[in-house]
Amino acid sequence: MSEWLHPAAPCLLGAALVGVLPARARAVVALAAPATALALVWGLPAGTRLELVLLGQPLTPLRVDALGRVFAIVFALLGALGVLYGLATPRRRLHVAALVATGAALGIALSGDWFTLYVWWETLAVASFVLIADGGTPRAGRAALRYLLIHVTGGACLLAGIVWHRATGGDALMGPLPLNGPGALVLLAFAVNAAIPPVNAWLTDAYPESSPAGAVFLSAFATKAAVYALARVFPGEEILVWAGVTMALYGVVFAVLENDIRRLLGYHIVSQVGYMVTGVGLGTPLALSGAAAHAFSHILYKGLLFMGAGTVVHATGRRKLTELGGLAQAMPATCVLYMVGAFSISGAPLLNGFVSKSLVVAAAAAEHRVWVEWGLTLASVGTFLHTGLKLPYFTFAGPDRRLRPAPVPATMLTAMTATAALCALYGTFPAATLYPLLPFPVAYQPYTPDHVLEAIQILVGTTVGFVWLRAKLGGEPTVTRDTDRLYRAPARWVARRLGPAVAGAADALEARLLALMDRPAAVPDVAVPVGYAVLLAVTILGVALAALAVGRASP
Amino acid sequence: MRREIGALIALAALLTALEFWLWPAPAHVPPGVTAPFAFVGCVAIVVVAKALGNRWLQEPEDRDE
Repeated sequence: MSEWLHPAAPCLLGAALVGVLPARARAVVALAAPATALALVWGLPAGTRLELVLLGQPLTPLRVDALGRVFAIVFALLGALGVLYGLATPRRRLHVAALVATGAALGIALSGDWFTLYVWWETLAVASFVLIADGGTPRAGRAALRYLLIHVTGGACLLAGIVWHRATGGDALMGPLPLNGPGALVLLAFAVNAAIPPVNAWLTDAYPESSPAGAVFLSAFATKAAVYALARVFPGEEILVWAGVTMALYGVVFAVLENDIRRLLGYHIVSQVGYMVTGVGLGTPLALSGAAAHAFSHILYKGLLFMGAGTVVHATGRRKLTELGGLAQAMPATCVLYMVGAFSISGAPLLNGFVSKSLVVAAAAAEHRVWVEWGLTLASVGTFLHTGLKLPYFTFAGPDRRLRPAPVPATMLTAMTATAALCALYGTFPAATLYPLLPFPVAYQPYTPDHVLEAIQILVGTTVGFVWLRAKLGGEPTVTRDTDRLYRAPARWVARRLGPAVAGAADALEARLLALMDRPAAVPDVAVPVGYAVLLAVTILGVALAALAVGRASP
Repeated sequence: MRREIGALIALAALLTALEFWLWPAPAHVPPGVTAPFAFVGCVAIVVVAKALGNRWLQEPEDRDE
């Protein structure tokens, strides 16, 4: 029976019920929905398909193969863990948005055709917008609207690419595309969601503004859904190898300058997604399995890191390194569980990051890509420097700010403990747990003496550097300009000259959105970006359709 | 700080010695390279980031969004 029930269905149904049920029943439904989705995905054998024709279009809303299945499993898993973590937050809209986002991520991983992919893609963008706005501050509201602007633009590129591809005889089934006109538009859309520089700044702008639980879901879905899409459509594209290595290093360099703990972790999403994009670009079976394995690991350990940082924010109300310190005694469990995630992302043996990161680096080594291999190893040094040393030192140790954190809800600690246990399980027994889920058979053995020794040396060598430079690594009361500075001011300049009609329509939309978010409807600058997003989307679609018309008219 | 660094360097030296003596032919990295690479890489990341930050990237927290 389960092959006819899409795993996204329980999440969407759960979201609808959570929207109307009282608090206690809401918690039960919110937990049961992703757990049911996980059971459904787990029970779906590779090869399952649901096909139908709608308005003359052949659609495949459900296609299960090994690549989609591994992503779907971890999306559902994180959905359940994230809901458990967020149970202490009673806001209805958080749980509704989280379940819709989980369902949309599942929908992307299991989409068989382009149009189904597009629908889920945009659904995820809207759900993520609500998760960011759920941060509950005017700053969060503005970041959410900027997020929407970028992702509406990316979604318009995706739709234009799909329409162009289909109108020129392309297959309805989602599969590899060449990097021609439609392929380039689709790649641009995927690059936006994957946060590939220079279209990366939305991530570190938006994620830290969400609530502690909202950020856990955000950290898991959008970028990894894009990695899945890249692996499905652009495996072996050389440009992705260099984009991936650039991302891996870009994130760790920017993280040095960060003061906001969740923004720092956001830069490490960019860096870690770089490993996955590199694996997709390498395109060998080992590399693609490595990319999928690293996405799987990353969703778990990054979820754990965001849970740890979110718990600190929840308990102290503070989010900056310059305001934190000395929390280890007051929050020992949070500190220990955070460190499990930190060692995992840093590639410490017995944790899942060690296995999956090694798969990608080994795939580069197998192809004799020496610069790629060393670039990723250098990024690993930076990862441990920030997430394993700088952030925990200045948060849990370091100068004692005499903070009195509020008690941490048991559900938060339970979710963190379960996630940490999964990091250890998948890291200690990869052949029995992780490898069977991967898209290609993997015989790689990470636990050889030289490899374990190498991993420990990276940790020790980095620690020497940290101790030596510790005085220079404390937080500074600054923010970092990212690539958004290249387009924010010009976009604002253009948008302000588009006329009162657009501004009026955007004002109405803004007022509606802010009313939905329970915000005061008087935030001056957000109308322009929304109007601009709509205009930009229409323009991109128009250009694509014009290009299509020209292409068809020519002999 | 000196004692901490001294202990860590001793540990790194021990690991390097193990690499040389117990596993003389590692899979793809020459012995004695990894720990110094991590140290130099760590310093390089900090120096490059701080230089970029001071010169171009950092601005006060109360910037206009």
